[in-house]
Amino acid sequence: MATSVAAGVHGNATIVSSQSVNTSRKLSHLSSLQFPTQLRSFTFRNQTFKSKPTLHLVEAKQQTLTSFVDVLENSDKPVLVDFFATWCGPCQYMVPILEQVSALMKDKIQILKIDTEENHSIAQEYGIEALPTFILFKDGKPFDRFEGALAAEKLIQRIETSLKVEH
Amino acid sequence: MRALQASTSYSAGFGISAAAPPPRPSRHRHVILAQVEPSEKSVEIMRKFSEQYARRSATYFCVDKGVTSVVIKGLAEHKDTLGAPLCPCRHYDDKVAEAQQGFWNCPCVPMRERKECHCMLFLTPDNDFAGQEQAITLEEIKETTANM
Repeated sequence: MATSVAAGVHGNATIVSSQSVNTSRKLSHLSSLQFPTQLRSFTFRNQTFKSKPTLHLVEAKQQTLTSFVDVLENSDKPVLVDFFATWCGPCQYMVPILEQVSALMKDKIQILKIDTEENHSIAQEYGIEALPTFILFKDGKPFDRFEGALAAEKLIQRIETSLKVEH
Repeated sequence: MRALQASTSYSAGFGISAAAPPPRPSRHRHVILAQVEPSEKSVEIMRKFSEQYARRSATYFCVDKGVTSVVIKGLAEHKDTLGAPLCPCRHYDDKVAEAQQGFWNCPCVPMRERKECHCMLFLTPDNDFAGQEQAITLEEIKETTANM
């Protein structure tokens, strides 16, 4: 099984952070600070898309548990949280896939990335062990959870299936 | 995923590369060093270990060597900081205790017992992500993690 991605997508993204640090050495996840040098096109399900730089993929830096829960509860859309670590291979594998999925599903979900090394208490609160772990939150509450890297198409299927389930 | 390209670059964290000037001491202590690169020595040790262990366990590296490279660096980083190559694809309550305990030191118990490697470092041939190789050069590691 090869992934269905033909090329990467680079979207504009901001860091949600209570600290304003702008030096390059602070970056713990470069991709979330990538500025769009060019719009890439990618194919998915035999259609070609151009990514639009929008603020739909966010990495949270050093959040407290309270502020994290606030972000989840105040989101108008379900939030897919990606718990990752810098030197986790499958987590890095997912970076371009998440950007793609974020662009494709931007009206349906918000994606939030949590570096578990920088957000220990949040990772502990949700019992994160294997990385990457994805938790889909609705109204601030986890309602789906899965581990491991997966292709864009499979990730979208999983999210869409989950969103259909009523609680 | 740029799985079929010859080289895949991952962006994550910052290292102080050999080419960069040494950091100047600053009066403003707001600069926080985030992720540090593992030592070349440890990377080389973990690279050799990975090749040997793949051969010994009849497992293969990921089609995307970038994944392999990131994990090797993660193992090297833990070897530097903890003295043991703790699995980099897990979150731990207490890394020091875990490294001493040993269950998750590479090769971890799930790998040794069941050839389960969720880091995607050692893949059984039936795995969708498994490539054909059991070798990786230092060059490959550097190239695929160039912008980390």
